[in-house]
Amino acid sequence: MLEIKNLEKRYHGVRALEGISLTLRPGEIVGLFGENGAGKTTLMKSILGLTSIHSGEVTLDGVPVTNKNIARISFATCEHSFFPSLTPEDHKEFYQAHFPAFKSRRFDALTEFFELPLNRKVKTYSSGQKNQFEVILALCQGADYILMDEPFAGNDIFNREDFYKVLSGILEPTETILLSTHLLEEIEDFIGRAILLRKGKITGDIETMTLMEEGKSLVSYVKEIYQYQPDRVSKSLSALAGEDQQ
Amino acid sequence: MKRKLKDLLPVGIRPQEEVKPILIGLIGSALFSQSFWFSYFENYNRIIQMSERQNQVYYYGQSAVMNSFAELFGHCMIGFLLIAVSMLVLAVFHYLYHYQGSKSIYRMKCLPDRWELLRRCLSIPVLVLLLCVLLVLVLTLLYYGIYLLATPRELLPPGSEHPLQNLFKNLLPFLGH
Repeated sequence: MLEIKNLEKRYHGVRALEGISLTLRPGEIVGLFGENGAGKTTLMKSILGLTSIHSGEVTLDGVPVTNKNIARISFATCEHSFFPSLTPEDHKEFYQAHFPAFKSRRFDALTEFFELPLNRKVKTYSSGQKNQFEVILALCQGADYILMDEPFAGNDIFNREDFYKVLSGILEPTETILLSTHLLEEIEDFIGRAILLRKGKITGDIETMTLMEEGKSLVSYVKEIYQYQPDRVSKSLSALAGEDQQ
Repeated sequence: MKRKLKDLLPVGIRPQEEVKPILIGLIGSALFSQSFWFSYFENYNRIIQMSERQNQVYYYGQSAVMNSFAELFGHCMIGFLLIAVSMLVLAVFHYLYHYQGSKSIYRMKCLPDRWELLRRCLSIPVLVLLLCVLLVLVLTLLYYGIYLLATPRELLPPGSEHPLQNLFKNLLPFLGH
């Protein structure tokens, strides 16, 4: 179980995360939502220890996350964490050397499915292929907790749908995914739980089953939490038009 | 060997990309250190010109004396000093390399082996730094030995048995002078 307790992070005095407490249970697929700057990326980096935190703690089965257990968490980021000058084959070799639980067969199957050229350096890939490869690495590391930070930014819809299907098909019951994305509608059927971040705070945490029972869609739930005003745009446009007339 | 060297560099840097310029630098520095001998022969020639020659034997004047080893040594090892400084730059480059084209720094920081990143950033610079120190010591001792053996005893300056006191200053020209 991945537990985050009272996490707080500040950037130059500004609070990026405030009192974040969260538990990710084995086998969960969790969507992490929030507007730009809400703290999604910071939260993931804090879990991995890639950024310092001011208070709070992150534990994995009760033990703080350190190099000793970091292999149990993988990270796919839209910034990419692969080695651009290596081929997928080289990556496989590197990962096998560093992650004893690396899933070679899954790696081979996924690179074949997405038709990634194995003998080409990753830097020569298209942005879509780079994203695919980034996610493949995270999925094959052999981690129990897979964090994905907007991994499909730049991929076309067909590609993304393929990925959701593949993910649903290959994940083992104990593998947990925390997926940050803006593509609410697309992943609604894929996730089991949705967490909403706003201005560094958790403003919503709900099972998608509960939403279904309440007859709500994920989008409407998010809008409700965010107190989204549908007439906001028309009001602004009217105001602008009024100014122009004056 | 190639495999091991590869593991001491940031992932993606080919060993030959770094080994080649470093080797050129080391050889260049070793060659530049030969400037000691230019100073030496220049100094010796000056003394010879002031000396009298009778029956293929030189009679040096009473005031004829070779420059001290430290004076002749001058900055002849400066090439190694430059390499040492460039190794600091190389270490920084190795770290920043993990930000080029991706943020592979995230991957490196999240490895079970906490020393992997440090090892790949610092190994080569530190090894080259140590090699530079070793070469400077070996060459200095070699040159000093030859200086003592090749210079006629009567031309050796007084106190030449303790030239290392002044030598250190010359090795660090920016600090010493």
